[in-house]
This record gives sequence, C-alpha cells and structure tokens, in this order.
Amino acid sequence: MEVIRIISQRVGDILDYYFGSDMDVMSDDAKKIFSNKEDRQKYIDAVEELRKENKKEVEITLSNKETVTLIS
Amino acid sequence: MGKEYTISSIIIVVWLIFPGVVFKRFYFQGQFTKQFGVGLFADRLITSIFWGIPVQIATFLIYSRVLNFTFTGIEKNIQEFYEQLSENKFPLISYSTLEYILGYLVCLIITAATLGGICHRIVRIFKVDLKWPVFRFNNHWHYYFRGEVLNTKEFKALKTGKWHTTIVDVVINDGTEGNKMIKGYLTQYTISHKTGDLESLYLTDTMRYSKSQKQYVRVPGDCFVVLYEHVIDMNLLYNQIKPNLNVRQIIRVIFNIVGFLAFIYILIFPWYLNIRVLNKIFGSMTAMITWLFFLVVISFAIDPSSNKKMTKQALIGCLVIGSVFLFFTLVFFKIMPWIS
Repeated sequence: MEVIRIISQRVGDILDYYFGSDMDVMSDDAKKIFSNKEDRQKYIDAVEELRKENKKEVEITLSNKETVTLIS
Repeated sequence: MGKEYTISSIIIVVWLIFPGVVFKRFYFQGQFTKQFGVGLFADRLITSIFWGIPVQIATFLIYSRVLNFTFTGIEKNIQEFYEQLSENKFPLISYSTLEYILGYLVCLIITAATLGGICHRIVRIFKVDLKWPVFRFNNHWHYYFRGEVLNTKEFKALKTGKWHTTIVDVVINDGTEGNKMIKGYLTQYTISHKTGDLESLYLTDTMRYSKSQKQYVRVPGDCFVVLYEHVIDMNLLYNQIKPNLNVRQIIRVIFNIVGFLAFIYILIFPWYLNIRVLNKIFGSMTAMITWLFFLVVISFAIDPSSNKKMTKQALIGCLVIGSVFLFFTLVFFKIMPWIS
C-alpha cells in the first residue's frame, strides 16, 4: 500500500506540474517547508529574526539538508 | 425570413458562441474563474463569438487534416443540409455523416478547451498580464497576495529575490472594544462569486498584538479566518528567498522541459501516421500514460523519497506499468505490425 501511495503521489505531482495552475498564495517550496513541523518553526523563527534584527539575509538548513536563504 | 433567422441563430449559437464559451471557461481558470460569469450579457456574448471564430478555424483545420477532406469538397453537402433546414424539412443524412458531425462537435469542444488552457498558460508563464495591463485578470488581489506585483514597474524596487510566502498584518474591528491587530502567514483567500470582492483570508501561525505585553503573542489554533468585512487596514509583507540554482535544480528544469517537449511530440506525432483514426486516439491515450509513468521513473531517480526501499519498489512498479503501456502504444501505432 505504501508503494501505491508513493507512486500516486508522484503521478499527482507530475500532473499538477504540467496541467495544474500554480495559483496558491504560498509557493510550492514554502508548502513543503510548512508541511514539516520542524522546518516550519525554523522558517518562522528565521523570518522573525530577519524582520526584528533588520538583517540582510538569514540562512536555514532544512531537515532534508537543503538550505534556504531568506533575504530582506 | 423569420425561419432563416432562427436557423442562423442556432448555427451561430452552436458553431460560434458555444466553443467561445468553452474557450473562456478554460482561459479563466484557478483564482480567475469568477471572471468567467461576470460582466454585461452583451459583452460576454460578443467575446464568446470573438473567441469562437479562431476556435472554429483551428478545429476545422485539424479535423479536415485528420479526416482528409477540404471545405470545397463538403460545401455542396453543407448547402443541401442548410436548404433542407430552411425549408423546414428534416435533413437527410447518412449514419456516416452523422458520425462526422458528432465527431466534429467533440473535436470542437476539445480544441476550445485546449486553446483556452494554452492561452491561459502563455499569459501566466510569460507574465504577459504583468507586463501589459490589458491582459490583466480582474482578480487584482491575486497579484498582491502572490507577490506578483513585485514584477511590475511600480514595485520593482522592492524585489530582492524570489517570492516565497506572504505575511498579512490586519487591523480588525470585530465589534468589541478597540481594534485588534493580527498577523499570520496567508494560506488561502476567497472572493465573492457575484462582485469579485475579497471575502475572507485564511492565516496560519497567527499572532495577535497584546496591549498588556506590548508584543505579538501566538494565537492557539491551526487556521485563523479573517472576514474581510471586519478589516480596517491591511499590510502585506513578502518573504523573499535567494534563488540558488544547484545541480539538482538544473537537472529538474531540464527534466521538465524535456517532459513538456515529449508531451507535445506525443500530441502531434500520431496524426502523421497512416493508420485508422481510432488507432490514433487509443494510441495517443496509451502514449500519454507511458509518458506519465516514465516521467515518474525519472523523477524517482532525481528526487528519491526518504524511504529508499519503497522508492526502489515504486520505481520498478512504474517501469513495469510504463513498459506495458509502451507496448500497447506501439501496437496501436502499428510500429510493431507483426504483433498487431
């Protein structure tokens, strides 16, 4: 069942990429971040840090080892 | 005279207005779908006729190319058909002619929907609506909420990177003493079906300003709904990220372009084969499924999921499904005639 779920998810992703209209008010990358509790908190903290401390950029490392650099 | 007008009206409705309506239904999609039914009736009628004409031309060109006929070749039949109708007689048509007419109607709807979708994509992908206001859709909130205004001349100076998320700061008056300040990450919004005005905003990770603590405090809950009728002021903050193009992302871009080109090839290629129309249709359908599953296989190779064992099983499964449909595609296209 897990295999079917993985395949159907990928099929959905590909169909959505080619035929869906990207109109959400949150980017796809952000949606991935927000779907992971740990990454979500890191992101929110980084945004707060960027705004409060008036920094030029703040880099966070996500749970999948990818880095995201927020800039003001 | 009156009868002729009635027949002409039916012809215009079926052959021009209807494809125009289908075209517009697929052009105004997603967050712009409400624009489809808004406006004066006369205005909508004229635009439907306007879009119906290119759709009709495109359909005729495709249909005549596929079934190998010309307008002059069927002109006499059309004339006879029309004359019998205007004389209030039921036109005598053979079963095969009826099949051609119904086939044409199906082709008309598919062409209208495809052209509408393609035009929408072109306008959005190449940011035509942002560069030229004449192409802009009525739902102006969409451009603000998605940070697309950063691509316009007026807001260009504020663009520092790639738009990622939008934080909404709102001052709301809910009828209790004093106003409340709320801020959160915008996840969804709704607009009115009738007027197109903003109705509500859906926020996550919401915070409210506490006067006693003199700072923002977290609001417990997963989704905070703000009714726009209670909003006094609204401030938008765009979170932007540095676009970092690493090797994996470059591969993803190449993969998407190759996938798109393959899709176009699959759409066009069958119509140049010297096979029956049914073979072309079924072959195209199986080719699409093959295309989809081979893309899934490549996507697993580029982006394996966290569970490696499951990824391997899913990859093998997709390869088997893709190969089976590839076999049927080759059979339908008679590329392996010894099997068919």
